[in-house]
Amino acid sequence: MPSWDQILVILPYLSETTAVVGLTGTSALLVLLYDWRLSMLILLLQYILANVLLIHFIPAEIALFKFIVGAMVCTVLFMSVRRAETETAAPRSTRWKGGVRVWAHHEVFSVGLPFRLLTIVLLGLVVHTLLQRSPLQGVSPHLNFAIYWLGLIGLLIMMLSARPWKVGLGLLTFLTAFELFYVTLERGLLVTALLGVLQMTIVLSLGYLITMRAESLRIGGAFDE
Amino acid sequence: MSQALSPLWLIALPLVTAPLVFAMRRRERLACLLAALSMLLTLRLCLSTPFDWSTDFLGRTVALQPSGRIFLAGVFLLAAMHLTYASFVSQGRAFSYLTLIVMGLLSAITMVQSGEMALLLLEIALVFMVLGLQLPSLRSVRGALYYLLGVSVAGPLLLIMIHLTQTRVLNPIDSALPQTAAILLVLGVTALLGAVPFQAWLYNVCLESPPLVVSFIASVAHGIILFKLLDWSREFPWLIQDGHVLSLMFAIGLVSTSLGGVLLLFQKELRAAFAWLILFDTGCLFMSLSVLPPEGPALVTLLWLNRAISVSLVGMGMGMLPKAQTSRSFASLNGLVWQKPFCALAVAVGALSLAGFPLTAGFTSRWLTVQSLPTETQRWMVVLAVVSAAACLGCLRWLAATAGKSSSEAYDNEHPLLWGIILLLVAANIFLAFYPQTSLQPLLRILEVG
Repeated sequence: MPSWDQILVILPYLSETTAVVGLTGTSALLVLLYDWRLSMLILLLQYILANVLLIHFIPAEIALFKFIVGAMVCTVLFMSVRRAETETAAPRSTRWKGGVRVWAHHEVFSVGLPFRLLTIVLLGLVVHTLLQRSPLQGVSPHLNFAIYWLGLIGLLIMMLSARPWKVGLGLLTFLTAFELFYVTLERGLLVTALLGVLQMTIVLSLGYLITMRAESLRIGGAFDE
Repeated sequence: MSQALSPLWLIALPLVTAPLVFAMRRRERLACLLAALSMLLTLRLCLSTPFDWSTDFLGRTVALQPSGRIFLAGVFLLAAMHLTYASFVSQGRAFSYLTLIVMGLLSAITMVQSGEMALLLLEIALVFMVLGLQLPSLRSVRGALYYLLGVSVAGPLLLIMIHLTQTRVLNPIDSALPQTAAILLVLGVTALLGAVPFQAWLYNVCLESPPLVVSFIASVAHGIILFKLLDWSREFPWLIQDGHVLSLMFAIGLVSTSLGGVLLLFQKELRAAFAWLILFDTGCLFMSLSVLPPEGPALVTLLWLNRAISVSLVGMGMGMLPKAQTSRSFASLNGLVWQKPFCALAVAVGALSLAGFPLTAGFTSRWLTVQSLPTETQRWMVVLAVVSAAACLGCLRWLAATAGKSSSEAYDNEHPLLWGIILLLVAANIFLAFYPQTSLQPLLRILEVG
């Protein structure tokens, strides 16, 4: 059976650059898109890319464990949101407004696509400045960019949305950034396993909140609308 | 015998009982009583476990230190009281078994000697509490969601802080490292305790969660956070002895206290008033954290003791108010003093103590804190006096509202056991107010031993 090094040689497109470009794109899409199915798929892709990046720094077994945790996180989140969306799906006539589907509803600010695009561009400038002025010590430039980018994008998603599943995507993106940084500091198996348990606990709590909110909406409208 | 006295029992007993309690969750009273019994049994084991007993758990040393024993005994007793109360006044079906899971994890956090493991277990325990914060009858998840965000964002900051403290041992000449670690520590603890600027979760949780669950978080969960903070500051004394860090903690404390006090004065809703009272008290805790050892840690412990008793009293009192579930206005509580005297007594003593009203434990602990503050921060005491007066006025407004004309609604009578718990907590509060030295002296000795 070929080792990870051999696999990486066979698949040269799985380079650090590819992973970082992919992570930049997927996280930006998480800010821009409001379709929950696409968002879940992108989150899974983000976990895959994050672990492709990690393979270059940590043993492949740990990266594989982290990917399995990521896949479980996506599964739990997908099942919770699917149940919530099924329970609270509006009649077909109300889901369309003048022939255009209403995407940006129930958010903290009423933010359209141009605003979100501009915010992402500004965030890119902030990350560039941070990399110039205070890069993280002992971390490669690619990883440095990915950590700052994912961390800030995660915070942005959390700030812009009020829906639990969308806020959850932001939180999980932020935690992915933290894990990318933390594996360069601490590679103990126990800590890695406990981080996985923590992620699962967080996503189970998120799933519970998503379901509870859907139940509230079904009964007669949530107060946080 | 050796196995019977292993510290692992303090972790295992609550965790083993939790599935049994879960199976009985539909019989809420029985489940809560079983959970309370389990807490009392664990308390008994905690008091009989020798200090020199340690064991390995997942490759990490687990040992019960003197300070850990006192703290665990206190929280087990408090949890037993909360669970007994919850068996008569429902706090949601999840409260009983979630409390057991969290208490099992808290035992592990207190005894495990590894910083990362303790912190990750603390995070897991705090995230578990989300499941207890949400009542099915309430139609918003904002409080629980904000709480989850606060807890989840604090974890990474504290994990990096722990790594930096370990790096400092290897590289003692790096001058920037202690300050970075200390700032991360302050930010992380601020997010976990809900002080300014992270007060949003505290406010929303108080509005949307069962009152006793809020009390459990503000007393037991915040207690373990403070315990670990004192533990780290004892292990790494350089961490919070930097002048800038002490000033930062004092500033966070002053702003939190001011915001809590002023908002409390204008509050007309009991649940929101509870949130600002906790914020006010959190501010005082941060101020006491800016006092250097040995007085600082003893004062923090004394303030926490007052907080645990007071928030439990307010939570228990609020839980007995049928109207507090739907209506939160002071006006709807007219005549409460005459119809539910124990309920009014619990809220009044708890709230006044949290606000620092004279003749309560809150006043005494704050008075001692003010006397121990460094001279350069003494000039801010005028602000503290003004906001304390505002907080007390806010509480007195509530008392005045409850003493008004009698409401036509008929209230149920409470069980005598609930009266007993409330009277015990009120007596403890008054005892602490007049004899703080009885707890301060042993605390100082225990903190010196470690």
